[in-house]
Amino acid sequence: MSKKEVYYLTLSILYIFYGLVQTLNGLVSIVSIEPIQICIKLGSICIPNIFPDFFAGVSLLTIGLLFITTLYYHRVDKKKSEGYLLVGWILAVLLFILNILEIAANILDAYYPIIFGKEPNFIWSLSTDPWGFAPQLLLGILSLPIYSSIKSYLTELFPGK
Amino acid sequence: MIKVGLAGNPNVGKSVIFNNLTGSRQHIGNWPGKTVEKKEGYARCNGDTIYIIDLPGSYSLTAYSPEEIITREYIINDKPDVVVAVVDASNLERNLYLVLQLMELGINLVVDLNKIDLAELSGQSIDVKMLEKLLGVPIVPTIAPKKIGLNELCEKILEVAKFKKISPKIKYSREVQDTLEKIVSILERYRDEFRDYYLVWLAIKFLEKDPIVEEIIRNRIGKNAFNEISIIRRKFEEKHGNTELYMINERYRVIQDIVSKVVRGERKLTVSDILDYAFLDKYLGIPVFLSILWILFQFTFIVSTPFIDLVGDAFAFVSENLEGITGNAYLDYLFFGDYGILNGIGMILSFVPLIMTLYFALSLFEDFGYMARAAFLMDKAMRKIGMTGRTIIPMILGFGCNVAGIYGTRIIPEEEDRIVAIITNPLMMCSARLAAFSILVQAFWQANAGSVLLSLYILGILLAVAISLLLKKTVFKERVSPFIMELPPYQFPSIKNAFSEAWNRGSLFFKKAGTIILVGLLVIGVLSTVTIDMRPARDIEESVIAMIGEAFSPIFKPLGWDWRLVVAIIFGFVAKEIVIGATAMLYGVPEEEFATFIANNYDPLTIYGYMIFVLVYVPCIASLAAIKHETGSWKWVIFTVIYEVLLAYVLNLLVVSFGRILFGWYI
Repeated sequence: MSKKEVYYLTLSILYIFYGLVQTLNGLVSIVSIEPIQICIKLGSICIPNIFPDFFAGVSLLTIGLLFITTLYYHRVDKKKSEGYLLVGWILAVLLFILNILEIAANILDAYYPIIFGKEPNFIWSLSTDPWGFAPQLLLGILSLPIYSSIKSYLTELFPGK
Repeated sequence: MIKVGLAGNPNVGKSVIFNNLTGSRQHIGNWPGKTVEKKEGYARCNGDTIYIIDLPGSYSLTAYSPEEIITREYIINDKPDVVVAVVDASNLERNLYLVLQLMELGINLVVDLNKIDLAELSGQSIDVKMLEKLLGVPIVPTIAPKKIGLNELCEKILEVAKFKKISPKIKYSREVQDTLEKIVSILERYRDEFRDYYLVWLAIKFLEKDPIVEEIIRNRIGKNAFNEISIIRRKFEEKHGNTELYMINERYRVIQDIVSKVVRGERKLTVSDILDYAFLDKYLGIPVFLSILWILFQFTFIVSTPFIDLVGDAFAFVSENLEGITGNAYLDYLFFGDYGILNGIGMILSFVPLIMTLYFALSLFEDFGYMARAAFLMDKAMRKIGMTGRTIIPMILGFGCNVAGIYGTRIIPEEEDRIVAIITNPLMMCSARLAAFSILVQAFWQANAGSVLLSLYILGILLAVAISLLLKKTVFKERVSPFIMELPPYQFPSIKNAFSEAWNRGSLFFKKAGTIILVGLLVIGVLSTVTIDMRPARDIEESVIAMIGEAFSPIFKPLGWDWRLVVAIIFGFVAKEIVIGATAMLYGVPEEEFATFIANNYDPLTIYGYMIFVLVYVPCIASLAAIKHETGSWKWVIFTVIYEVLLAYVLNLLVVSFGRILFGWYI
């Protein structure tokens, strides 16, 4: 296996694993069961924080499956393999951006009452924000190096280039 | 002033050209009597002002869809000085079909050869001079997102409008030409009757058995002349079969001939082909689609939340500070009370960030080229339940807010499918109902609260499917809309376009829905603060609204409600968020103690039935305003109100009655 293939395999496993756990957490939350956390504990912070959300989990799982399909076609059909990689990467980056926007929105939601001279709605911190150290954020960072492999396709997406 | 119509297939970049030419000088409305969007604006070009109308995207000019009829009627009746046909250069063959039909209308035509860069990227080059020569109309290559070629387009429009009469050349087969000439020669006798029409176009459409044109001709010429042209058509039909199909093939024959002369090079795999491997994958396509929908959903509702809260709180803050300013308790309550006019304006404005965020996100995905793929993926499954593939997007958006879902139906091009999607969208459990229900389910079902909520979500979906099926089998049974699916090339979305779309939708919502909500709030505000003899009420129990509640309570007695729950339902008509607050106020308990109070005074079955009623009955006033705006008719608003109230009542009654039989021992 080439270094690239090992990298794709690692990403696939991580996305599929955290996707499955988050999907499961989303399902069990309906019947009020405590979510499963497989993380590194830093004080009260859980890294990554697999908060219960069924569709957030499905999204991670989908990205993992796209990366594993990339690997499957890697030696058979290069163009097809790149198609799955490109879509997987776009989704991973969208989740990463969404995660950052969620954090920004939560901060804004906590502190906007200050404008009216009131107390904040709640005290925001990375540890209390479910999106603070979410797998979407951390795995998104891990996926960023894929950019170098798909740069030419992204350029093609800009009209006029 | 020069009048220009912008025509073209969907997804050819027409809106980008329109936005770039008109900038902020544009207005969005609906075509009279239609739910099809009308965009018009003004452009400045070399000192001249050009009025531009963005005609609905259509693939042809037949009489099948409202978009096609609007486009051709506008061209015939309003007679623009120039029609610009926007053509996707990377898909020339298909796009030329509409160009040929526009040429048949005998109008001043300019062809905008857009996305010329994409054609080059796919390994093809187009001989523009040769295309111009073969069609006999001026051609301007453009790359709209980069504004390349738009000045030249503007100049060409002016030149054609002022100095040039275009003489398009279409070389149909000798036999077609002869048949058309024969029909035209008969129509010529009635020249004055057909002043507004190009006779060759009438002849072509008559040959194709276009019902509208056939009626126009029948009403303006004598019976004998009509028989004469009918005989010509019959002879042609006997020889060639279905005339409409024959003319379609004839146009494509002409197009293929043109394309073979002007397009050079073999088409190679583009980034769109490569992306479609995954986006349209047999197994992963649907999970990818669900993930994208979830991202859209999250983006819309989470990112807009702080702004919604901020706007609501800002108005509440102003209301609080202005309370007492009038020196009259009644006026104070009416203007600055919890359900007063100022808070009402705040409520209307608080919807605006949601609408803007939704359209910003939708526009990005639409521009990217994904929405057509999503509809393609879902179409097969959705058709089986009487809906189109595109319905899935507004349905999901409806879980956040029905107003957003109803406006989201704009992505459904077929009018009847869209109406079905609009009137069933309020059955999706929106976030306002979720907020109200979460207090009740916590009070009654604690550990199983999530499951009870999920059952309501599922009930909403099942009811929407059932109503759609019913409408398709009754009201719209004769109407089968052909499904033409075009997969536009992917491109990086235009952020400017997305902001422009968000701004337009937000302001449109505020103007249209705002007025209706304000009137509604004013009426309820007055009714809850005055007695029947129009004196200020000392408390709400003396008010007209309480009297209305009492008057209606016998109807709701079988459901186990008292008049307060009835009044809360009336308040919920303004916005579902109000239901819990209003009920708490009517019972005179603080909102935070309300859950305990209601759990002590009602049984779970009555409250489950009540939640079903709130889920199904009349959507909020903002949703009704959106339905009116989007269907362009009060008929559908009234229909929605009636069917939802009846359905809500019947369902509630069934649940309570059967529930008592089955679980009487438990309750």
